[in-house]
Amino acid sequence: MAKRTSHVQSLTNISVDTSSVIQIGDSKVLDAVSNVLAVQREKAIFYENEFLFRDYFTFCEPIDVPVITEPLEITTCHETSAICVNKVRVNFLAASSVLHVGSNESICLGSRVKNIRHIMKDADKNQK
Amino acid sequence: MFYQVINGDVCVENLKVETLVTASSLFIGDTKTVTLTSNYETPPETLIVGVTTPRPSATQRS
Repeated sequence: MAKRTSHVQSLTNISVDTSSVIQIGDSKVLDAVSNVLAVQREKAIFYENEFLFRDYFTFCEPIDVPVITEPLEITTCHETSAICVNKVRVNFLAASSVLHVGSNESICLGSRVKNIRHIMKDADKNQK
Repeated sequence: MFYQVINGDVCVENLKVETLVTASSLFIGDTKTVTLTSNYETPPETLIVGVTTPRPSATQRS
């Protein structure tokens, strides 16, 4: 794979979440997987072994990835050996996302998110 | 399938993106294979009303 150098003048970012990547320059293989279980309880009492990933189908369900069967042959040649970027501003990168300035060969990103809300009944609220 | 890519100049003056959500990628440059998978589950499927917080004994697992 022909190499190129990446020149970035300024890159502004506020937050990079779990298993996210900011890559300036070439890379070969990039794999990022993240499992997020977000629980919001009106009465915020949590116990240590309460929410396990294996208890939820979202995290065990296999996701079938399409396979490229057709023979594919790509040759790339770069007239100029530089990637020039003046100003990039990406405020937030959520779970397993990638900001990539440069060439790459294969990238595989996977994320599983489950949100749970526990709201108390009105009767329980009066007992507070 | 066979194809050839001839890259000229890649010059980005100004790029502003608010948010990259889960399992997404922003490329300045080229790549061959990209596999993005995402599994997202949110209320109302799992909005549980009337839940009382579990008693300590109920959550002791073996």
